[in-house]
Amino acid sequence: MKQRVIEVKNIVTKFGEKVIHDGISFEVYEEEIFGILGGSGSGKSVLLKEIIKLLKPTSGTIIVFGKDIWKLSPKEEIELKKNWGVLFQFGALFSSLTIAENIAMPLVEYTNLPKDIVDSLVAAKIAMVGLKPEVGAMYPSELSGGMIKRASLARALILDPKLLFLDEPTSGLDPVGARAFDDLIVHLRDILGITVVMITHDLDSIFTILDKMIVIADKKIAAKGTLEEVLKSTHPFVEQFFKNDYVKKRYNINV
Amino acid sequence: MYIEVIDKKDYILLKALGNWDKYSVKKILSTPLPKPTKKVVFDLSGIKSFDTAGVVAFIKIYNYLKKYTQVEVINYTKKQKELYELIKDNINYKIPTQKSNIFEDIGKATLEFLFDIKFFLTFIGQLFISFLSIFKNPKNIRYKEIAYHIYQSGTTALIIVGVTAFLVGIVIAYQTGVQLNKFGASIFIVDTVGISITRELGPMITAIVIAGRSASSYTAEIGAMKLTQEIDALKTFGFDPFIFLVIPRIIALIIALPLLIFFADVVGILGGAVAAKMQLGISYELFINRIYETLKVKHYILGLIKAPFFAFFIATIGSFRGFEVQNNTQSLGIKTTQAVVNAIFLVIAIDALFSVIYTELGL
Repeated sequence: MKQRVIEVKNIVTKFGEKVIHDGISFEVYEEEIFGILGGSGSGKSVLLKEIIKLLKPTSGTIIVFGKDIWKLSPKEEIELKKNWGVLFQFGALFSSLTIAENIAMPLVEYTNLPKDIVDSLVAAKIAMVGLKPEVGAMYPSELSGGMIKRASLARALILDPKLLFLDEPTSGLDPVGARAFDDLIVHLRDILGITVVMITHDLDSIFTILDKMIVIADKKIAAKGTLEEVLKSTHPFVEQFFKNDYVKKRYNINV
Repeated sequence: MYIEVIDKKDYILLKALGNWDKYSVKKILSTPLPKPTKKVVFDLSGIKSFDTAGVVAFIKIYNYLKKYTQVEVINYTKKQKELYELIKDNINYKIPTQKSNIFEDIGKATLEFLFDIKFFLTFIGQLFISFLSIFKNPKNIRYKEIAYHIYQSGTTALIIVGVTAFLVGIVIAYQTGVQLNKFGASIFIVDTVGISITRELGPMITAIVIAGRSASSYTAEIGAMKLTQEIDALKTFGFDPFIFLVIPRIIALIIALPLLIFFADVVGILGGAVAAKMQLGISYELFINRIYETLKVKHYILGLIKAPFFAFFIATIGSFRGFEVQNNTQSLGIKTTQAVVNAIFLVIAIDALFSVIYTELGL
């Protein structure tokens, strides 16, 4: 039986009078690649922010690795944060540090590893995400959007987290790069046993790498489960998103 | 204990134990290894958990032993093998570092300084052309922005300018009052305060406060717009960023600064009057009468003439540095600092220049 890594229970989010989420619940299990789907403004990013403890939901509980993230001691919180990695939509690399320094930073702060091991690990991660070693000496402002994403993934992976959050990982990448990114994520999951939670709009990612997903529409979960289960839903947003002519032709589905 | 060494008859058995991860790597690598005189068998079955750092440590040990003897690795898991395969070729890549020496740095700094001047002159040139296009086409004047910046740079600065000028007035009166009193010439305090505030201190103090306040905010505003590509967006529509961003700020400051200086003159003289009353017992009536007699309008005007020059350079430097911000957050801070330093320096330099001119002209 796989362990539950994340449990989200009955999340309600309000910004002033505006309701963003109205009772959202789902679970993510070990070694799953889990997608959060939904239209623009459906509150996907807000939900992700709540799970990674950047934003407090109005009510509801979020349990990560068996503990309520809003009821942690400072020590437990650091432990939790060492065990997850986050890839932000636009990379969020520290602009005053080189790529290598960016990637090394969590290691330098949290471990006592000698410099040559840190360098080896940084070089390994840089290669792992498909960048050239020369990139390590460059600053984020000298990199293209796709390279920033890869470098940011390397930084998210440097502590070998058990849980990885990705905010639109393939947006802004060329199609070949995007598929390579997907392959990389699956590969990492298989080797390191990572659980991956990602926000995505990329149909290729949705159809090929996601194990399970939730679709948020009208402040609630419109559909959840595996792709087959989601495709069975008759919610208008699911119909519109998955059952249009383009998707039908492209992925040969008949529903 | 992470590595157990067992000396078998025809080989050495190394048993890896415990958690091979980033927190234990230092200890793993400090374990003394035997002189590998015969074949080594590396048994990984005792590893409870591992991560990338652990695999790197393994590779280091493995490569070290392989230099001397034959190494056989046994009892590894599929995941360990996969992670090993994934990183083994990459860990020895050297990330090039950028080194520099002092001569290179001096050369770079000199060139940067010269380019800085060149870019500033170019900027002034472009500004001039945009100004001309506004004269040709007056509907390009952006009144709304000008009003906004008059409020932001002028109205909201009233309190700080007032407080500063008042304090400077008090300080001047106190300092000179002591000396004048010795000669029994206390009443000349009025002349001293009146002339020094209107002619020199009022304009300069106000300009310095505004240089600190507005030059920095102009750089930060324009710099942030550059970071978020808002300026690129303006350009692609064919809008001139000078007309939209720079000229409204310059015009606003040219309007606001003389008004602020007038305010500073009044409050500064008031400060002098308060100090003169407290220290020398000169009544307010006497002070005001004496001001009427001795403070010629020309001093006030000579002070005010400098205002548009101060305003022009403060706004121009602030905007110029804003445009120089390069796509990272650090440069925003550097450029803002430079803007304030440059603006304050220019204010003082212009003031000195005017002093020389006024003296030469006998004003």
